[in-house]
Amino acid sequence: MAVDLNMPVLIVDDYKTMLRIIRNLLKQIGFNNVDEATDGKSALEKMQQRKYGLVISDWNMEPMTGLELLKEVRADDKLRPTPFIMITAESKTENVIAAKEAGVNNYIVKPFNAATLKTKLTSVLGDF
Amino acid sequence: MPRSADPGLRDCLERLTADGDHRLSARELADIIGEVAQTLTADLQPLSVAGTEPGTAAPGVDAAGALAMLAEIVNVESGGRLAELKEELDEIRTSMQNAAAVYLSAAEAIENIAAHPDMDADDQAQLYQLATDIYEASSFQDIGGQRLTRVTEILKELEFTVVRAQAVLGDDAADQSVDALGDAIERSETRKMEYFLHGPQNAGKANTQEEIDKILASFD
Repeated sequence: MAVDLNMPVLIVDDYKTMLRIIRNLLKQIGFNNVDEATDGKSALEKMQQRKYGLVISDWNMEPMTGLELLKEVRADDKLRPTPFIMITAESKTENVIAAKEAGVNNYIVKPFNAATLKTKLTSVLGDF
Repeated sequence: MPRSADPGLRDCLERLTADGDHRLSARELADIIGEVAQTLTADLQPLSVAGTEPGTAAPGVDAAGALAMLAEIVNVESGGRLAELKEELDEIRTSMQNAAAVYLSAAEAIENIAAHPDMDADDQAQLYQLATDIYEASSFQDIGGQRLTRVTEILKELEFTVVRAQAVLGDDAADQSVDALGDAIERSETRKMEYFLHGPQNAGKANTQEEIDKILASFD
C-alpha cells in the first residue's frame, strides 16, 4: 500500500533552520501536512493532542532530548506505534545503540542529504 | 605519592588514580587546582623566569600575579577578554543563522519558480535539484551551532576554574562569585553529559551513515 502523503508528520529540532530544511525536503517528497516542535517536551504535548503518522526528531534539545522523547513515546500505549526517525549529529556507536534499544525505527546522521532522507522514509513507511 | 604532599590533594589524586576511567568534572578539576593553590599560599615567592637573575623578582610573574593576569582574561564582570570571546561566538552564531536564512529563502524562491506550470520538465528538475543542494548545504549551520555551544561551555568551565583559584588565594570578589559560577556549572553537569558534551564528532571519530546502518542492521 502506498504511503499516505497527507498524513501528519511531526518534525522536532531546536534549530529553526534545520526545521525549515527538513520541512522543505519533506515537501519535495510530497509531504505537506507537517507540524514542528523545538524540543521533546513540546513535541510530546503535540503528540498527545494529534495523531501523527511519523516523527522525525533531533537528539540534542532542552528541556527534553530526542532520546527521552522516544522513550516517552514507546512507553505510552497510544503513542507507541508511531514510526520514529532520529536525525542527529550524534554518530557514536553507543548513541545509535541507545536509540535502537529505545525503539527508534531508523537513524540519520547529520549532515545528511535528501536521498538519505528519502531512503529512510521508504524503509520506515514503505514506497511512495 | 610523596608523603610531603598536601593531605587533601593526596586524597583527591588517590581517589582519581584508583578509578582509571574516571572523567574529571569541572568541579573536581577546580578542587584539584584549589588544593594545589592552597599548598602554594604558605610560601608564595616570586618565580624566576628566563632572562632574570635567580631570586630576582620580575614584576607580575609571581604565582598570584600570573593568576591575576588569567583572571583579567576570563573576568566577565569587568568585560575581560573571555567576555569578548563569548560575544564573538554569539556574533558568529547569529551571522550563520542569518546566512542560512538567506540561502533557504533563495532555495524556496527557486522552488516557486520551478513550480510554474509552463516550466519545461528538464528545467524544473534542474531547479529542484539546485534547491535540494542548497538545503543540504545549509545544514552546516546546525552542526556549526552545536560546535559553538560546546566551545562556550568549555569557556565557562575555564572561567570557573580560574575564579575558584583566585578565591582560594584570598580574592574577596572571586570568593563571592565562585559559588554562583560553580552552582551553575553543577546544575548543568548532568544535562551536559547528555547534551553539550555530545554533538557532532570530529572526523575520524564519527560513524558514517553506512556504519550506522550496519549497527542498526545488527539488531535484525
